[in-house]
Amino acid sequence: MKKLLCAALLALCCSAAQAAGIDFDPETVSGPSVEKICMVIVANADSQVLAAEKGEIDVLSDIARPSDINRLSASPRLDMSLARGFHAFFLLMNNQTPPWNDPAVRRAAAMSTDRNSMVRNIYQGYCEPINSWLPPVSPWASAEGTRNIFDRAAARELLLSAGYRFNYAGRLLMPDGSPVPAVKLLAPLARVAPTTAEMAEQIAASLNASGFDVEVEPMDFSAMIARLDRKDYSLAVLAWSMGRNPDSLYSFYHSSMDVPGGYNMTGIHDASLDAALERLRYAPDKESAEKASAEAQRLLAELVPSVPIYSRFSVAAFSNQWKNVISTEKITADNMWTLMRAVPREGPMRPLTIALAEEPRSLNPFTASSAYSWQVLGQVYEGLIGTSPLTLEDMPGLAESWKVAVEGAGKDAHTALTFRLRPGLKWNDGSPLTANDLKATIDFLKKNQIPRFYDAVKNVASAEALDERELKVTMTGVSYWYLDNVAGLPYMPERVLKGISDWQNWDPLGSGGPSALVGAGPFALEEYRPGEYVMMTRNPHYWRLSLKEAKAR
Amino acid sequence: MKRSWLLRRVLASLLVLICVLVLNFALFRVMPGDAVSTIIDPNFSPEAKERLRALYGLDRPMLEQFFIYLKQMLTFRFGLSFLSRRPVWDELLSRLPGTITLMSLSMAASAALGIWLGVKSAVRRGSWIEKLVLRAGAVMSSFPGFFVQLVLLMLLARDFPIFPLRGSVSVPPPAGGWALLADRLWHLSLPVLSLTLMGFGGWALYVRNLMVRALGEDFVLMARARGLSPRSVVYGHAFRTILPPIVTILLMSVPGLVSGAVITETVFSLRGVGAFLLEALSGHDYPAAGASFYLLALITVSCNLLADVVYGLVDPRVRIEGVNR
Amino acid sequence: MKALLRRPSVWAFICIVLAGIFGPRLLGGSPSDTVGAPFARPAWLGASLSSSKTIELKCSGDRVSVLGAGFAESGGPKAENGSAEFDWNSQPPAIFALEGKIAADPALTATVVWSTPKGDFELARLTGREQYWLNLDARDMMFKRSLGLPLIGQAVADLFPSAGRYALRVSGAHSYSLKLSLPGRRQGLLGTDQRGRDVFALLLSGISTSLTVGISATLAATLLGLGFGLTAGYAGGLTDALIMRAVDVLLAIPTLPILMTLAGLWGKGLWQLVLILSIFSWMGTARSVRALTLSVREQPWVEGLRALGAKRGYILWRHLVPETAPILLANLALGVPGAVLSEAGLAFLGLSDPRLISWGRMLHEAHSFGAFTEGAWWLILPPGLGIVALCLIFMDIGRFLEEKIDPRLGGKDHA
Repeated sequence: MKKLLCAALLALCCSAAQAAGIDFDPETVSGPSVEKICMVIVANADSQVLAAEKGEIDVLSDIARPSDINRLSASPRLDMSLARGFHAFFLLMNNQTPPWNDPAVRRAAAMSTDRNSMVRNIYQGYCEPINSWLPPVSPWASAEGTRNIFDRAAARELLLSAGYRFNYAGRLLMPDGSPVPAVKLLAPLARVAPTTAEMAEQIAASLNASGFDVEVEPMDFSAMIARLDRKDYSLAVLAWSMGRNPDSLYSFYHSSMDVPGGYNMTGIHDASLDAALERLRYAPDKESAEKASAEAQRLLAELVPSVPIYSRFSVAAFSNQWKNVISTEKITADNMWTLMRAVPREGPMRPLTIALAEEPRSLNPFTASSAYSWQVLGQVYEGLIGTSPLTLEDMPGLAESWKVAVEGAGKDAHTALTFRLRPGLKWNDGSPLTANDLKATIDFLKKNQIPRFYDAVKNVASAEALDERELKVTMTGVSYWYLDNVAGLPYMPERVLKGISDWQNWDPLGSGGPSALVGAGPFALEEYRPGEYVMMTRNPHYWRLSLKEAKAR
Repeated sequence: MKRSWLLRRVLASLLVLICVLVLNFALFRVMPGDAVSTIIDPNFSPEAKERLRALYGLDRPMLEQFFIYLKQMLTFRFGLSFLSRRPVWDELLSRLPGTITLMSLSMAASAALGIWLGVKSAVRRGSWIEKLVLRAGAVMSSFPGFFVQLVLLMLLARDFPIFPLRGSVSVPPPAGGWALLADRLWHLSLPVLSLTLMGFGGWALYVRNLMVRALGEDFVLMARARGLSPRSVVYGHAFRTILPPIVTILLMSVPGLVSGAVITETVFSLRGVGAFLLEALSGHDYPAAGASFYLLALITVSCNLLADVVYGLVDPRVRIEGVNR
Repeated sequence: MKALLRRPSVWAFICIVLAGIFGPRLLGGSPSDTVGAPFARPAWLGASLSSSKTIELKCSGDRVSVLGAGFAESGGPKAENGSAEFDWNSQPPAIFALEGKIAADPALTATVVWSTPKGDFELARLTGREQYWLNLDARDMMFKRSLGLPLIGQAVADLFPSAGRYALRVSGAHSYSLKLSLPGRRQGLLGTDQRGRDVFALLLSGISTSLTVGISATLAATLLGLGFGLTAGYAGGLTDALIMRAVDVLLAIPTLPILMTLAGLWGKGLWQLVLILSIFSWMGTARSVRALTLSVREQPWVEGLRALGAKRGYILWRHLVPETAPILLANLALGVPGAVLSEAGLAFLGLSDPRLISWGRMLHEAHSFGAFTEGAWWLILPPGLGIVALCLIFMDIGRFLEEKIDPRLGGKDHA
């Protein structure tokens, strides 16, 4: 069954910005215009939707249920925005056990899953069927990633030419004549992921229609992870959030990661894929990284260690009582740029209310692990390099320019990163921000081996402040990705770091009050009322405030 | 007689507590996976995860973990929560007031309503009150709790917005003692209302049965024969007899309250011990979950002990512990 | 026994059991089949909403045939000017799905056009092949994009802007066979759930699950309680003390958390759930049985039996167990509601087998998938009320049995 529609979706990734009717240049935008942000904790999805409809909250991010999306889109108070996300849902196959140890079978399985139908039936179309191992929104993802490969007839051809047969009932037979083993598809419990269980059923049905014999086995999430770790499974479904950078492919598909605790859950061991992934991870510069990334993705499409199924769109609702809201095809309206420019449509400035789905239990940047904590902390801290909302590529942040160079030769070759800070930077308490503070942060994280940032700083050989505004970080080994690792750390003043004797038990709110969280981000923490809300106030010393805007508001 | 009986009861309670402690520890360690293993994040390499595990003390041998656990439980120093890295005791303490307020208000309301209705229906046998109370009580206690709560939330917070949708205070909270108190009470109304609706039925039925038995006793007949007013007969004599079982049930329903709090706090987005327990269980937060379990067991055992003592004080027959062999 | 049969609750119970056994078979198909649009209302409500309709458009050579289903007598689609034309007077349907195949000359361009009173939409423009397979759905992002419709929200509303005449037309092809499915916003006796499954069918198949779990868990708990209670009461001494301490320990463990943990450990499945529920409900029965055994044990007739040389097992089985029968029956009937509610609670938290349809599971899915926000009361009230009905029935039976044991609790004839 051939489908017609494919290339139309390519238009989605190639078109230019659709900033909601406003021209804006992220490099020169001045702000934030919002003075206070109030993040209200609303744990219940139903309550979130009702609060948004009643106008009690202005911003609702990441709306998951299709019925909620449809309902909120009909509300006269709200504007909706949709963007591709970094989420991806995979069908994992144990590459070391039959029948999945044969690439032909894996490819046939990939061609037998009717992604469009699944997305339509379970998500009412609010997900994108993908055939890519990187999220399609990432600038590094291959363009082939959104092509529809569902073709049962071709899958059948492929299997037949690989030596498999079908018996009278349509059941697949191995080349030696025995029927393909009945396998179990592990799926996490519906409590953790309600739609995953339904998706698993549909995948099983899809595969069974092509001659496989698959049965779904729901189980506790941690029990499932434990089995994936031991490779005690045949098929499993798993979803996770990926990052923009392709070097994560190394963690998932390199053979050295097939260890307990490692992420190579499919158990794939392929020499050419390993070589491509190594070239990707240790690429000295952007061009070689791009080549290696394309090659790795091409190989993945051939070997199909796992089958990508879909990626969820990110849908947000924004109250239309605010204007200058910015949304593009790459990010939804609830982004930093909106905070830079949004003002109430009528009346005086008032706090922007954002819904938080869970309480941020900890606001200690060294130990906080939940996404909700970082939704708060992410406003307080700022990295050296920012991300463009239009292309998701790098753009200047605290650093106005940077350089990635390879020094030394042969065995001693290593990457050296140089960052040049903007002039006149200040922390949110008014003290000047210098390269010494940056060096102090890197040293602190490395010395204390803080787990969350361990991977980011473990390859730092040394960091030195060449002068007030120039930082040079010398790494061990060569990799282009060190740039993002180092640029994305939560930079803090040296003075604050010196005052932290026990980072594990450091309670930024207890010791000095909210003002102990000193960063260079657009907002500072004003008040945290546990279980109720987090109040943040504009950082008066934020560097963007002093930019002269190119176009009028 | 009394002291040795008391001693035996206390020893028995201690034994129970120790069994619960061991069970508590074993259950969590037996469950596959821990707080670290479920992290699927390419930015967290296996080495970083090992460091995280060391941070949580999960890399030490099981026996050592057990002794650390025992020491913590017995000294009430529960260590740091995995999810928040703050002392578990502080986290529990900050959530206790909310849960205690909610639960004591609902227990008081459902007990009061239930007892009143139960006595009324026992006194007026065969009347429409008795039938109504029996039916209403039976029906209400057959409803799944979350069902009632969600329906109430939709009806009274959305369709007719009388009550707030979520939380325990408005955002931002009003200043001033009385306004704040009123705001808190307003936010508690729906949860307390739902819990009372679900709880009064059981109380009413139970009290009715007790009163019916008590009113059938000879001493009541005697009191009536003596010419005492019906009110005095009912409240002065019959009701006093059934007070001990009521107190017992009151004390024994305390532990069940926290289990009930789990769902209530989730539906109404309240910040309490129940929601804390749920988060701890799903997140494999051993210190937090272990501490919560332990506290609950402690509360249960002490309530049972207290109930026995109270009953023993009132009814001496119990102390002599039944049939002698 | 006769008195039992005269109670209306027993008749209700029998009806429910029969419905549970024969209902799914009579309805045919599987309850997990998708029969319509998600969250469709019951068909007997809301006449202004659309009911499900389908239109089949076929053409071979010059002959165009149109077949409609679900339309009123006079309003069916007709073949005019090579297209299927019909009047539409109700609200837009929930889904617009067009599928089928078209055969055309590769050099020509075939188009499929949807014409509405407010304008035409070109659904597909096909060229370059001999045969095309169509699978269009208004929910797909690509569909919305190709027609320039907003990506968020229901595109169907734009395809059915007002009441009037609509037509589906294929041009440039020499033969085609298309089917346009328009599932409506009302469907079935009790509407549909978030996946479009018939709620009535789900309700009926949930009967057997809820009843099985409720009754077997309570049965197992009662048997356990009987066994432990008899042993403790009759043997006395150390055995008694041990068993009673075990009872205390189990009672000291908070129920919901332990159920959640165990459900996670042992996996889902009907019988695991029954096992877990029964392990935590036998204590009450054990205590009552033990108390009864203690009092009966000292009775003269039991002593007499012992003097005659009767074995312990004989005394227990032939004499003590029948003594406990009334208590057991009452506890059984009164315990079922507890088990049913516990199962509902666990299912609501998502801890039951997702493949098993039970009323608790239906409520969980209603809650997780936004039925409350949608106001989809047909998804919430039937299973909720079903649970209530089951509990009431068993409580009534249990109360009846209890009254038989303790006549003072009975009706008007007793003071």
